[in-house]
Amino acid sequence: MPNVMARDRRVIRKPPGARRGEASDVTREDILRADDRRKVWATRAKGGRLRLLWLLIGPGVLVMLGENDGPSMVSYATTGATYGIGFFIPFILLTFLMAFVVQEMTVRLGAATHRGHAQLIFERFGPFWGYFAMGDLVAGNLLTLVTEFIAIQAGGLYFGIPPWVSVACGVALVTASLAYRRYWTWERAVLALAAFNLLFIPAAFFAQPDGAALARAIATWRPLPGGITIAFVTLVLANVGATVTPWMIFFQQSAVVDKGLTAADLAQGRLDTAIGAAVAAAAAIATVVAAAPLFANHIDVTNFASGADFATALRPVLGKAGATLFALGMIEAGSVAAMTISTSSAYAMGETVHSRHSLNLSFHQGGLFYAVAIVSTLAAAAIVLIPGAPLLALVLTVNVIATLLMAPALLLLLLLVNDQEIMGAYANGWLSNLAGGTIAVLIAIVGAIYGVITVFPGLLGN
Amino acid sequence: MASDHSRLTNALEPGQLTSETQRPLPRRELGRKIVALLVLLRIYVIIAIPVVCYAFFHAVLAGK
Repeated sequence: MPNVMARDRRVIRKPPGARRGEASDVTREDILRADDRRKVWATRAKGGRLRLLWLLIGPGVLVMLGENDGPSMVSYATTGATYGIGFFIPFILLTFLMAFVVQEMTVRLGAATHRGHAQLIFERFGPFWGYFAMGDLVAGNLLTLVTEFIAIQAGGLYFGIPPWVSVACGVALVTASLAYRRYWTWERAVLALAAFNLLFIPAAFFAQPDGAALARAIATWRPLPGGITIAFVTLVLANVGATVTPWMIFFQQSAVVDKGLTAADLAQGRLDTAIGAAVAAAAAIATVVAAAPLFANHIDVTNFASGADFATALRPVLGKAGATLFALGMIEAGSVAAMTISTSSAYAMGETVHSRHSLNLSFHQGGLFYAVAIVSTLAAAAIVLIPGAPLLALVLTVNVIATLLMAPALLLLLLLVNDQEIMGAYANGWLSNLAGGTIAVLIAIVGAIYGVITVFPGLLGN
Repeated sequence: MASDHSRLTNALEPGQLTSETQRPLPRRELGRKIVALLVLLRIYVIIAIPVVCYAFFHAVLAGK
């Protein structure tokens, strides 16, 4: 590895009369990204497919496992506790298929344009729509970050750790991950942590699930106890919001750009996203299955304040080991999401105000970038420590908000990915447009239904 | 310095260099139908958010 710091100081000085694109314009980001790309090209030349996938995997897996965050896992646990093994199992699979369709477009956008999502919106559509999109993202990300620290706090409470200690550890983890100042290292560290999302799978086995019931649910989408009620529509919306949210679009595109993916890497980028969706779907379904005993035993979860309550309530059924895995999974869910979401905000802010935005930046060069990530984390952590804050209500509401904000975000995504001037041969085909458009319409309809029955609850007769 | 630059340009596409990505793309003309759709979805969000807030406070008060 070349001496990056010495090279960085040498190339940044701009000689008089230097033209754009000359050596003087080369930055630390470019150098580090080029180092990563050389490994990819060398591996591609040797034909090492597995190693190539290893080098290119990251943004897709991170975004999918990052979306299995605190509120999402609580939504899945609430789903399992309220409806057991039935309708929502294949529904969750469907939501991850939707997530793959959406996120694959961000891979193509990033690889073809080498620009982040916020930057493209501002440059192609102007500041009016750009600031609307940023407003949605900032509000959604801050609310979601709060819920990540609720998850970290809840997991810590299960182990008897005081809230301020677990929240402080979460803040320290996010801050420490930014200290690498190297996209590759940050990505690998967060991937390693994200692997612990799979803890929900062994936890599910402790629930001794009925395999036949699981297969029957996937095949028939039944049972659906109680039919269509306000609770059902709310959980549908919450589960959709647990898999497709605006921050995922902004994060994955920016991560693809920061990682340096090009059109030559699209196959691996799609595979990365598909693997992420599959693994995250498995963890999500495992969470439903793990919590299903609460439904079977008619345990009322409406007054549960946090994920810790689920772990505690599940201890008689899953045993101490199973409940411990569940609580550890909640801590992981909150931690990984806190890292990816705070980084998503930092990327978007940098793209909006045209300042440098990369995990390859030094602290000096990326002051605003790192400040946004850290300040948003600190703000979210502080809100969580407010005494008497309504935690579970906030957790379930955030996913609903994320779903509602998804419809305009999807329209902007579809407009960009169909933009022939910037996408060229990589623009959407009719099938991608059909899938993406259908998802946008469905999300808008479900959101509208939620709004109507919230204001007029008598419409459903309950 | 020149050899560093050529190593970079060999490893990266021209559009990946920071100097290139900082050059803004030209603004796109949005048709009336697209603007109408964007406005419609914006109204949808502006209406939906207070409804969600109402549901949130209702849930909080019901839980007390």
